[in-house]
Amino acid sequence: MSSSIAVEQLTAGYNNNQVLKGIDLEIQPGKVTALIGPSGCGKTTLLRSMNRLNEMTKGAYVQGQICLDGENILELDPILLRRKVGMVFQKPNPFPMSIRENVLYGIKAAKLKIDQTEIVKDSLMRAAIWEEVKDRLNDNAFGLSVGQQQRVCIARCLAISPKIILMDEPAAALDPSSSAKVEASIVAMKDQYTVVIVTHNMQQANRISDYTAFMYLGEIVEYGETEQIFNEPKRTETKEYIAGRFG
Amino acid sequence: MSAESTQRRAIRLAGFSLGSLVDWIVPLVNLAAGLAAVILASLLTGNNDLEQYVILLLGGMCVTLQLLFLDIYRKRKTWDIKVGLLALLALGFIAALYWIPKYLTGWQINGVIHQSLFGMIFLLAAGIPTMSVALYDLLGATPSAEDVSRYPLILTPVALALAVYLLLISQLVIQGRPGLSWEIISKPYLNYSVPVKIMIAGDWPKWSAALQEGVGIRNQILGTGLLMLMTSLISLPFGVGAGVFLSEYARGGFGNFTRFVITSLRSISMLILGFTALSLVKASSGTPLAFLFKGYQFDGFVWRENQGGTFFAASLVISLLVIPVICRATEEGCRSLPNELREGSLALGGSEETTLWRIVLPWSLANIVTGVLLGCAEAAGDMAILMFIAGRGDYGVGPFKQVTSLAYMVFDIWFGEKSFHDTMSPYQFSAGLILITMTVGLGLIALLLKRWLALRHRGR
Repeated sequence: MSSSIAVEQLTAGYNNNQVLKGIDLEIQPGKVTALIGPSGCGKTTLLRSMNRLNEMTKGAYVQGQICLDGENILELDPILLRRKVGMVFQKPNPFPMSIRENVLYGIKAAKLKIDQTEIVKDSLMRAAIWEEVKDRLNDNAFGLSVGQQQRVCIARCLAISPKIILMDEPAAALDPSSSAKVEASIVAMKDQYTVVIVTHNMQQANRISDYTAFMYLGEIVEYGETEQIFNEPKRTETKEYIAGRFG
Repeated sequence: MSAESTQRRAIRLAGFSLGSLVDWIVPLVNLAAGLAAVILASLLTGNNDLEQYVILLLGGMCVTLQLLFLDIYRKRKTWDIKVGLLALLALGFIAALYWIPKYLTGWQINGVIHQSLFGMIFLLAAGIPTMSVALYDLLGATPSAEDVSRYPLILTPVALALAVYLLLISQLVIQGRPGLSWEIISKPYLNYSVPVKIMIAGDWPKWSAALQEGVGIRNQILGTGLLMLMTSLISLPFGVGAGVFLSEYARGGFGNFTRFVITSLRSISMLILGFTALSLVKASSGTPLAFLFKGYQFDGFVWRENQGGTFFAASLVISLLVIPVICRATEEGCRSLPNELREGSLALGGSEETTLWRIVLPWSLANIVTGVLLGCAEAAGDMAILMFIAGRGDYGVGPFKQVTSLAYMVFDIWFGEKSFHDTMSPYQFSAGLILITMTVGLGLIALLLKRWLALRHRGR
């Protein structure tokens, strides 16, 4: 059902700046994996290399292997890859179209033949926003609040049924109540989807993730089950970061 | 604190800082003199007889400015050089006006410039700074007073531009309205002969010619419209395509080079473009392409090649001017798309093409409409390109018939046959009026369209 990602010796950077220094990571299928670490440690670069969005930046380079269910994604068609690996961004970026068109965007882009009304309702329900927008599906998405916009973005990502969902600090720009709804929808995604979430909010990581990877200066310092990382961290750097000694 | 309340505060405080009436008199007189200068300048546009007052007023301003110069020293113990220089400037203008002859003629051109034009310019050049300086002193010479005193300098050019615009429009309406009537608009100008059979009882039928005559500007109006339509249709795909290429696909050096070449199209002299149209028409004569560029007309006997060129040929050449405009507008529109929307489309597995058609182009539609509108205005008012190939629309209006337009008609009235001048010169201003109505009307439609498009495709 859901997929796994295996990162092997991944080195990445921009121009002369090396950001990732040999990452080895195995993302477990059907679970939520959190990437935590101080600013600039490479979490976002690692996330963006998983759907090859980092290639859009000028001067970006990548070495190593990233295998999605055994296939090296660096040799795949990036457009097809992104239909299997979806992404939700930190700042909500709905298109200036109706809510329905937003949700159906990926489906129309991939020219899939599925029941449109059904998929729109299903995706919006999974994103915990169906009740709020069911009567105004034809309204422009720009008219929604930030929290609602982010949930619409989650819905449109879910609509194409990706195997992996990447989330780059999805609740960072949201108020607490929207943030809680987003977290609830992420928890509901387990088993059916594999989620990799970058977050600065350690309590959030503790709440929703099954596995956590602590990154520092472009390397994975420690990786394991969330309970173990937060309660009994093995490395001193992990301990100090979790205790809030540096951020 | 908003800017407005700062100004109001300056005025209020200034009223308190200059206690006595005596301190107000000299600046007030200067303000009045400056204002009078600006008013006289605008009156001069309509009435040349007032020029006798120009030197009088300039002289008066020179005197009042010198008084202000002394008054400022009295009040604040400083010599304000600006005021002194202004007084000298007014003096210089008076001297210049004595020296400039009443009429200026250009070499071998029968253009005439009246002395009052210079009077108008000098009045404005002296009057506006006088107002500014007087206002500054009146308000107490504080930094806020300096800001407020700049207002005449800023507002006057705007007011002047509006005044000139209104002057032109009013001239067009006053002179053009009498000539307008449904008769004129609905009928074409005709002046050619058709063969007619004459039957005389008991004799063979004879052929004779009958003159088709008519007075009207219908075909010119339709021609202007068709020219705008065809130019838009031809330049839209090339312009939008080039704009999209430059913004989405071009890399560095090559992109800059392409942009430079496209922009250079607009530096080509209009006369050269006129020759281009002419050579296109002449070169196609005698070949099968003549149908496209030269056009044929049936004069009752045979199909004969036109003397001039078709709408198609004219639109092609005018498009050379319009494509860079649409290209620039499209490129700006595409670049203004926030990058996060682009990334959002990619993250959902959208290809470059999907992103282009569903995100980038809808976002740029408002800009493209602006570009098309500018292009239409150019096509409608164009005369230099039509100069060699246009006609009077005797045989009707169509893509492959001879090109004609309102702008060309006015040119034809003055530089064409005398008979055409005699028949049609009452309607030259009406043509101008209709032309400007068409352009402004299109502009309003474009404005509404852009607002609707922005709301629909940009969400605001």
